[in-house]
Amino acid sequence: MNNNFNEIEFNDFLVSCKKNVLKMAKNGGCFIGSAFSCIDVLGYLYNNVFDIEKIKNRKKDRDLLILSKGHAVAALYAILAQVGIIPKSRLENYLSVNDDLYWHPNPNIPGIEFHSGSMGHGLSIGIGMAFASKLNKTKNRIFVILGDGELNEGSVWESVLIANAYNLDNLIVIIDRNFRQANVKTEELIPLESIQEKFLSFGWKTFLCNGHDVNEIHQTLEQIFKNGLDKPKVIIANTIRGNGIPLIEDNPKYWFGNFNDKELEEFNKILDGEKQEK
Amino acid sequence: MEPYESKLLSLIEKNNKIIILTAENRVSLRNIPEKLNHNFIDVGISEQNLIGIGAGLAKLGFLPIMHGMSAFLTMRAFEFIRTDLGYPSLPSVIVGTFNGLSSTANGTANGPTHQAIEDIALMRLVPNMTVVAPSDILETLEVLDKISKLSGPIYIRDSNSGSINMQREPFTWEKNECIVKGDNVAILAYGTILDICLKVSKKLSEKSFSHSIYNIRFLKPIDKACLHEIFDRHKKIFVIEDHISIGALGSIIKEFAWENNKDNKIIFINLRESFFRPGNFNDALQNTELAPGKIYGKIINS
Repeated sequence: MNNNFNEIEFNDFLVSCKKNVLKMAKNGGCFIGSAFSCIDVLGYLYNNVFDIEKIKNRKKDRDLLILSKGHAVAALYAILAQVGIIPKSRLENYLSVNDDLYWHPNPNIPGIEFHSGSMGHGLSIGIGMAFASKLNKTKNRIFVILGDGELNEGSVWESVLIANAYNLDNLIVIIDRNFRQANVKTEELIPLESIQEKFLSFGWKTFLCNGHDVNEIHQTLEQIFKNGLDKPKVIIANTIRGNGIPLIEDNPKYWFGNFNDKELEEFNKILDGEKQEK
Repeated sequence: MEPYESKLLSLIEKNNKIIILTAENRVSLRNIPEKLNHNFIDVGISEQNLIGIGAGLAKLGFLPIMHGMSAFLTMRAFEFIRTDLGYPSLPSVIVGTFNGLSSTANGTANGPTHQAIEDIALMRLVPNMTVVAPSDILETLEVLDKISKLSGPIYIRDSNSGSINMQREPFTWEKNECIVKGDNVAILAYGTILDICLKVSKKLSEKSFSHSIYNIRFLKPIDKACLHEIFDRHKKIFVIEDHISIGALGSIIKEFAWENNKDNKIIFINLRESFFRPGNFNDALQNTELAPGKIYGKIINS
């Protein structure tokens, strides 16, 4: 944990990460809406929580992150490049058949612990890793990022039961709660509310935060780490799909985006403005 | 304690990275959970998570042995097996029970929900998967002895039957076995049906009907040298299995014959494309083409 959390520096870091995502939002595109929904939380973890050297060197006691909502991986590539786990030049290989940077995560990319893409797998993988960590006594923290739409999958709820049954207190789930799934609003299809009450009744510790407010993310994680280990934990991070770019914010058309240079130039300017404002 | 259970305990004694998992199926694990302590994880009735959790453990260097009924493992959790174990080729062991016409605990009385008669076809589809169908408990134990050397997942179609009381060749990894050596007619079988074929073999021998019996325990990868020997030495080949006609040994033999321009006569005896009528093991067996008398009739009249 980085105790010298500097909000201004972190915001600059996030803007750079978001600009990296924009590089992937053309020539085939990426799930930009999903990426900008969870990039603030992911960015916080890599910038302030994770020991990057441990991840680079695959140390046994490193923090482990599974991006179960794998289609948001452009955010992860962007961050891995920004923190130096992969070289920035590698982003130029995006969607090339000669590299492994495609629309879903592949563990051939340093920093990616397990492949994902099919909904409802990541939490069970994370539970396996949580068991492994306890057996190894390596004290890893296992972070699993779930989409809210992903909560439609029954396998997620099997996992939620099992994590409680075995009191996997080294497991931290973050739900990217943007109230949208691929095509529609979550509450208009299969209502999920109250997610918090559901997890509480399944025996988890629950936390709520604004997933775009860096201070709230900071405080929520501080609270979790300070209170020590007890029970599996879930953070419901309220977010906006496509956050920060007015055209795509909460716009059902832009779960995925593939833009031209002019549009991207506009988006870059918006991000520059965001930097100046803050 | 059963031999299967003792084997698991002795394997863990040598390799503490082995974790025994089950989706609340303890038929073959009744006496060992307490002894296994942290090396035992029962995830409850959730086959998808059984495989996902096994994959997470395997990714961090553990060797999971995952237990469940073949029908639920190979079908309900198929995508997890294919995507989370097969694609990354994670060393891991899937032990499925109650499959085909397995007589275990009279499993034939379960009915169609529990019938695993397409499990071999499904598991052969998974990339990097080894598929083995031991014919008796001794063979299952031989397979388990080799699991520390796996480079990917293995599906063990555990028929959990007694032991075939015959002189057998020493077990060799990825090799099949010739149990009865004769001429003209070869009988190919695996798992539960091998024992049935050996009973048929006895009757054939009484009539001085020369034949061979092969135990085709490895369904993937295929022991091609063994298949060449079978096709070279026998005019007629009977492929007998408690599986639907699609995707298992019948298909393997058809593909092999086509690829190698073989014109041997091949006769297939299996469950065709249908569920079998549930009932007590002997009744269920008699009601299929796999009844020993029917197999015998087909061979002797061929």
